[in-house]
Amino acid sequence: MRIQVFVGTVKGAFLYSSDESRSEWTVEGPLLGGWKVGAVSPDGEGGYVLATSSYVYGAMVHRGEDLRSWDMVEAPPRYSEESGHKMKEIWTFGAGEGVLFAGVDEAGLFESRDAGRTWSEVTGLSQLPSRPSWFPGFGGLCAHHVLTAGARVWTGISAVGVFESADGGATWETRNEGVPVLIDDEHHKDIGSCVHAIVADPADPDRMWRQDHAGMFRSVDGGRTWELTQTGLPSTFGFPLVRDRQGAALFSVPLDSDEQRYPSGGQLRVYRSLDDGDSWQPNEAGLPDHSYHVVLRQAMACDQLGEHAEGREGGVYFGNAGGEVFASADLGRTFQRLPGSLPRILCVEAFVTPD
Amino acid sequence: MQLRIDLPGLVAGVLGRDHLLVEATTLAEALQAAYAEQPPLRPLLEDESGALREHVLVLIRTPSGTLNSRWLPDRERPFEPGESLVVMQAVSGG
Repeated sequence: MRIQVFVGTVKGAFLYSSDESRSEWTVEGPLLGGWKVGAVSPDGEGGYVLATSSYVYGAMVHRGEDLRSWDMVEAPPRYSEESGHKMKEIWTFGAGEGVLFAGVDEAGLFESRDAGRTWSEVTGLSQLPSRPSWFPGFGGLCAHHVLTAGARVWTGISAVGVFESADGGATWETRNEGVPVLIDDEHHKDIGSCVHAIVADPADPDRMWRQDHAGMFRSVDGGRTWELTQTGLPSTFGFPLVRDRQGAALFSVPLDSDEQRYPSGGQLRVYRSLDDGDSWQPNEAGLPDHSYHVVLRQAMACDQLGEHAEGREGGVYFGNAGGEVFASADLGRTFQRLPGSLPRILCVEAFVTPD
Repeated sequence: MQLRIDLPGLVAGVLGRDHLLVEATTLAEALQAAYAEQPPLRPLLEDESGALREHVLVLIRTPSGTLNSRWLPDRERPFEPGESLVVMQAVSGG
């Protein structure tokens, strides 16, 4: 088996590869040099989809079989002119059963039933009565996470909150009770929280975790209610939140505050929870001091190798806005910096593939 | 007439070619022919309304100089012999 870590940056993508030991890495790239690569995902048919976003050429979906060679699709997600919404950027993909979702800015979802070749707007979300009141966060008005479990779909939108659909995207309800509202709306009191990341337990999708602008939260009822789970974390602010499934481990990178947005005290640390968020412990072995780069919300991933190779612990990977990539082969206890000094890193995904 | 369309570097990189040769007598026909040959070009160059994206320039290179297609009232101007198209990204400032 090979471990492939795909790193999307503002000026192209880079592909790191290693064997199961994850001690020696090669790097290829830039792939799509010069293009802003914001998301990559399995396409549901054994291949992959990738999103580029361009100040000049707009948002585009590319498909590929091997993470290296990419072909643009003919019909990427686009709002109709009548919708009044503009397609600025594709932030994420979320794969379900026979469906692939794309979360975009201006906020909304698109769905593809043909592995990313063609897309249609999820109008049940973007035509919600509260939609005119949705307010952008610092990163834009973006749908940046999509989770699925059967017909259930969740999305996280900044700075609006979490929504869930129980019917594949036809109808939606907010899922923000227990999370502070940052920007109070005159009429819609269930929006205005600023979710940064959500992750769920696939074995029990009602169990969810949420890195919010206002702290780390947990839900045991599919997001209907949330409780704060901050014990051990140095701040309430941060972006990425990922989970190693076999190790039942959560990982985050807290930042000092929403105004400073760098690792606390300049020491880059990955915080890990082995008890579903009840407590968090810092790990800094192999990570630099005097580090003042933000780690963005899509820029962290687990390889889930523990599910594929007996005796192997899951790997954890992340990149920062300074173009540094870090890898752990021991469930986040120690990290090594991978080779290269890359452009600003937007997304990191890890894949286990056959040799 | 056969018309050459030169493509900007980023687009050329993902299409694997830096120019197209199309049969067209007007700008409208040239763009339609280009989109027919390379369908991803349409969403790259045009927005939801069918207008050229704000930072996309389509220039008509004539023997006597360059004509910005935005200066034309529509896309129906006939090409003259010796003319070609250049697509550029118009990124102002730094």
